[in-house]
Amino acid sequence: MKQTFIRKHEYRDSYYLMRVSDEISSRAGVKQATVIMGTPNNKQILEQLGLSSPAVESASSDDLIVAIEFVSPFEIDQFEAEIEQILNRDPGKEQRGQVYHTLETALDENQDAQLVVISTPGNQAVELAREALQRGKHVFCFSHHISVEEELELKRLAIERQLLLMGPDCGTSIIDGIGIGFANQVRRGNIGIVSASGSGLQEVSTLIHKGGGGISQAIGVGGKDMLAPMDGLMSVQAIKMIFQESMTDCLVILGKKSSPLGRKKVLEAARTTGLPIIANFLDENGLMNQDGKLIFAETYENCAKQALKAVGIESTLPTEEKRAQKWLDSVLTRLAPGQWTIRGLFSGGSLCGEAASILDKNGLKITTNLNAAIQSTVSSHVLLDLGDEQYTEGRPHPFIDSRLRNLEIKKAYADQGVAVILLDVVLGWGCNPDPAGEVVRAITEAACEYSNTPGVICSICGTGEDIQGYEQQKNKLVEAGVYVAETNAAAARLALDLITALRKTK
Amino acid sequence: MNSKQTKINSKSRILAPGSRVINAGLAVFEEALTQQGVQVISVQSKPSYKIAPDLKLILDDLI
Repeated sequence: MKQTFIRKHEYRDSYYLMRVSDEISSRAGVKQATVIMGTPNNKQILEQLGLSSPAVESASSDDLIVAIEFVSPFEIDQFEAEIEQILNRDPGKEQRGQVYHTLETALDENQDAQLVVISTPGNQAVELAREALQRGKHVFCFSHHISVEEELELKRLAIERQLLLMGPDCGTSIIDGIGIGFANQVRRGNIGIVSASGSGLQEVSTLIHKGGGGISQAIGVGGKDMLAPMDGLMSVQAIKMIFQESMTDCLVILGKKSSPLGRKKVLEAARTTGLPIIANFLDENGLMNQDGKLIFAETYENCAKQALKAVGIESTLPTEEKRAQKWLDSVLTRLAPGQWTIRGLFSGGSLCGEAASILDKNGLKITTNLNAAIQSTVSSHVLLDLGDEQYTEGRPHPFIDSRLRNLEIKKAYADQGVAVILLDVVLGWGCNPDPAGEVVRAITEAACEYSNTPGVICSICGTGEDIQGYEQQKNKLVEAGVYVAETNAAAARLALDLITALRKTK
Repeated sequence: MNSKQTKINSKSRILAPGSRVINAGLAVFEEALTQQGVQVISVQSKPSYKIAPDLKLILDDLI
């Protein structure tokens, strides 16, 4: 039995929606429940979950949908009152400090605060960021759906005031040892990072930590900063601030998408520091010259290794060839003749980009949603960035909420052509408390439902100091038969090896 | 830029110990900062029921 409630014109943030969904789902008699904004993508998700209805179809993007499936016929009237109570409660209230209803008042009464973190919807975020910068505060802006014109205006304002504007669309930074957004717990040290890539910053900083090094400052600048018309505006500012304010002995620059002018300006600013520079621009590394002070690393893994080497640390990052070969052999014996494609389901966009880059450079034709939405995932190697704007409108980022990826995992198992599923698990502040457990749940359910048994490869972006615990997360995956690669790049290479081996056996 | 010797070491930190951060938006970021020992000031607007703009202004003043 299913029931849908629509609350017209009521916006709630994605994290709230996930918590309320979990709370309603945990009630006796409820098989599944989803509380979600009525965007077109979310309606599709409800359809996939079997929770669509005429009421859902008629909801608009600013309506709140509560869709519930009960185990058996249920006393709806009584439950409706309970749902109202849950929806009207503020689930995070007990952990919250002082609350203000306007930024202006918060700034007036807390003038010593130096940083404002903004993750409201895009239209509100611009006004909040402008106000914070005008009041002399640094800004970390997770919000997306902000135009480049507005981003440019805000970044110019920040530079005029000698402030940092981390973002928009910035997922992570580590400032003075404090993780902001989705950051990992890493040791402090003498390697500085300026990054237009959120999950790239996380992968490099955690690998530096695991290799024995540490981070002075890691400043995210937002995914579009190195593109026109910003052309590295905030990256240059961040480089100057890292050099002036911290004891940094090596600078890592991570681009995502970048313009030639953006790369030029950022690298020129980096060179003026006189520090060794390790740079990664995903697809563009081969186009530029390097010298003794500037090294281009094609993968995040190599970025970390080169940075450690630059500060005199012999990397202790492990290699994994023997273990990988054993896993590869076991998977090859169980795959059916028609299974020959890779399905990458990533929560980190740059991790998806890195994997796509590795596979592409080795001759695989890859379909991704990194540059444009894709229509079909059948019969080709497909890598999906599930944190892309098309998937996160009105719902939590997949670092927090695994439900969308769990559905995609089941779809991959249902696809007779998929030989290997490539995943990332991202740990750290703000992330799901048990992302590996979510993956295990999805593959266990899928394995019961479908006869296909693709290999599953996963890398974990995180450290032993992260709240989820690297080893605990790894053990869960290993026990479920998942191959856990030491890095995202290693995971992609292993998927490539599997496909290469399959081609040879044809 | 000047040489390494002229760097200002932690004099003008953005997040000095005991400093406060203002969070407008997702509670998950606020919780993460709090867990790291940062004092967080929260800006939480009320759920946005669609009402006439002039009435909303009056309500905002009252909140």
